[in-house]
Amino acid sequence: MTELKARIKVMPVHAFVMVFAALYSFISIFIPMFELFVQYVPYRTYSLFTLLLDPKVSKVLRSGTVEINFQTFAAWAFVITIVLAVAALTLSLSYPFYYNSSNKRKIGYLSVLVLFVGRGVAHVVTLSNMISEKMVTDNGLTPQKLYVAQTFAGNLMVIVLGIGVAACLYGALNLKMNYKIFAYPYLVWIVIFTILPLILILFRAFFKKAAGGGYEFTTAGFNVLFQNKTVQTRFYGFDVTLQEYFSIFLRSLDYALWTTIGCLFLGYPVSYILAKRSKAKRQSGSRLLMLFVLPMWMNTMLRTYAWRAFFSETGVLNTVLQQWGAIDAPILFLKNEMLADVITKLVMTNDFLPFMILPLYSVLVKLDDSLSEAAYDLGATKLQTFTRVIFPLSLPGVISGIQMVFMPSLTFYMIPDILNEGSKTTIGNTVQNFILNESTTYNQAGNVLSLLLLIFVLITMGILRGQDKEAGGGMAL
Amino acid sequence: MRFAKKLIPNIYLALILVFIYLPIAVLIIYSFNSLPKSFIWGGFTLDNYKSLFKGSDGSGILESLIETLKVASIAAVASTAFGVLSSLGLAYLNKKLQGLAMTMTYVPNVMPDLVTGISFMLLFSFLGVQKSEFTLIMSHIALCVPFAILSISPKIKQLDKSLTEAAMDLGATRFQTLRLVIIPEIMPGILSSALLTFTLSIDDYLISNFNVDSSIQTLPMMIYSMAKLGVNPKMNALTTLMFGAVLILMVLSNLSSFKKAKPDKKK
Repeated sequence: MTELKARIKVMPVHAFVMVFAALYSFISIFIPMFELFVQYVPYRTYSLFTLLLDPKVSKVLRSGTVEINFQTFAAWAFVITIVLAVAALTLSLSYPFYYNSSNKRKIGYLSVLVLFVGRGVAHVVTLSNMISEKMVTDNGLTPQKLYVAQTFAGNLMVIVLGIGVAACLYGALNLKMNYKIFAYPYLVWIVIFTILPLILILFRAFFKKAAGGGYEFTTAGFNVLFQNKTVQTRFYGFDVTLQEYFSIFLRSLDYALWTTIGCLFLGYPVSYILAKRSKAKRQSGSRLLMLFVLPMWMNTMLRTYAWRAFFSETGVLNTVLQQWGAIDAPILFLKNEMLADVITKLVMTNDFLPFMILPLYSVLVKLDDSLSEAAYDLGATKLQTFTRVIFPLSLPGVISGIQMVFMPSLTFYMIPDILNEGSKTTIGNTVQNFILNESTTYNQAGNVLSLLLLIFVLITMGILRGQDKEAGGGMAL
Repeated sequence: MRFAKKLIPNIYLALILVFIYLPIAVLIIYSFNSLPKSFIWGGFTLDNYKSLFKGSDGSGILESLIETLKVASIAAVASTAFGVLSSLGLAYLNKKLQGLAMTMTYVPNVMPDLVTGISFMLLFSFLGVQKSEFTLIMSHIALCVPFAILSISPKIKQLDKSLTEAAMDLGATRFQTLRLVIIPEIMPGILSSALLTFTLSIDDYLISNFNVDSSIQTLPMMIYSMAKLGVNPKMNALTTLMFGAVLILMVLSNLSSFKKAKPDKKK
């Protein structure tokens, strides 16, 4: 007995997790099953756990309109589930007895693992046999949704079994483990959430579902984008005739470029002054910096709307100007083509400014002052010091700032949209409208456009990164 | 002359601050407006704030707020936790694979949100998952993970490897080493990752827009649809309160760091 106690004491955490998971999977069979049996009324059945689950499903279940097909309940699956759970429990509980031998341990872990997985499969099979198709179609539930949400216990069970499986795996692998193992889930994650979606965009851009099943190659989406349709637009006061989507792209590029330039010219001095202060008096600069980045926590679209309120016919600026007697009639800032254009760029600059200031500051504050002092000593003027020493050294910050401003502002269509009440279409709107369109051809056009956008962004990034390998160092918030 | 030299930077900073805070000031002023959905000033009122605390009123603002906060907290916690483990794992991977993984982390980071949103939408439809709250949360986590890894990884790189080796030599298990040595060491990275991911998620419009069914509306989605028809001043009141909360948090954290009076921050 004392030996057992001593053995339990040195049991690693994951062994306890394993025992817990086995215990839970064992208990979790009986409670819902017991309730299902006891409270079984034809066409109306629920368990204690059903009361705790997702309210929507619970309501449907309790309304009594749901028929759970109890007759086809798979008795064999139930029996197998019990057997597996008992086996997993027994093996996990007897862990202290095979703790000493590395080989026995490996076998123990692996057998518990097999039992856990089997238990999980049996659970799903059991539940899936309990629910009739009619129930699913009548209530607009997907079967998967229902199984998982079937009981609170069922929900928890999936999680606990998952943890149990992980604990077993950890135990089996820990005999020769390394932190390296944590990287593998992320590699799988990259494949699912980064590589696969990109492939899907590429695929959907050029393939569509064929009538007889399967997929066929098509350039319909591509043709929509590059069709020979021109539109009249005004560009900096000039009337120009351009291909429809090229003019939209040009406008977006115009906005994005001016936003980037504006942010750089307004933001650089701010970062420079703040960094200088930070170096002279510790902390005072970084505290002021907080003031400059604080607006990031305020919703962009509301701020844009506030700008609209500021410039609108009955808005703040016109009211104030009229009160002062500076103007007689309100100025229609947002109705004037040129003014609206300038205001849009100004508002976008305002919105993206913190994203430029932050990376610039974090590079400038690390800059060694002795370098510029050395430049002075060697007879450089202030301007020369700046253009030859300080600016080149702050290039990583400039690049990551440009990256954080230019890329998002290219597709961030909400600001022009809100300010101009939808009259200025940018590339973002276009993609969105294409994608949410009913027609497959337009969807494909949307995918082609996203693809082109992506290529454009990656090329720009490649060029920028080529300028400086260290870019991205100032990314930290 | 010296006086002017000191003054000019200050004036410049002040002007930029005015430029930055102008819309926020307008927004706050309009939160006290008694006329709903209008640019016209109708007089001062506190009704917008009062009605916020009265609970839901059919406008759905409160429900959206709760939904948004829920999604953002789940996304922040999940992506940061995943980010810590992944960055740790990546640091021990061989150089080639590590470089490849970091490049693939960098790609979604520079991808426009719009394209990210579309790519997730295609992914979910490919996997046969219907748009729901689940896809919303998953897409937000997927959006946040690269950012979490990019803010935690540098801290792990700075981590002295001999420290973990020493801990393990002294008999700590890998889990104990992670809990007692590694995590405290990289805490600043974890905090900034949590903050960044929470902000990303709470402010996101583009990704939510593509990955949720019509039954759920996050706050930014609601704001965008409002911004076209006229914003309910209650929304202004709510944002003002949220902004105030952030402001107070910042001031408090600044005060506490002031008290601590870090003796040396040299690196």
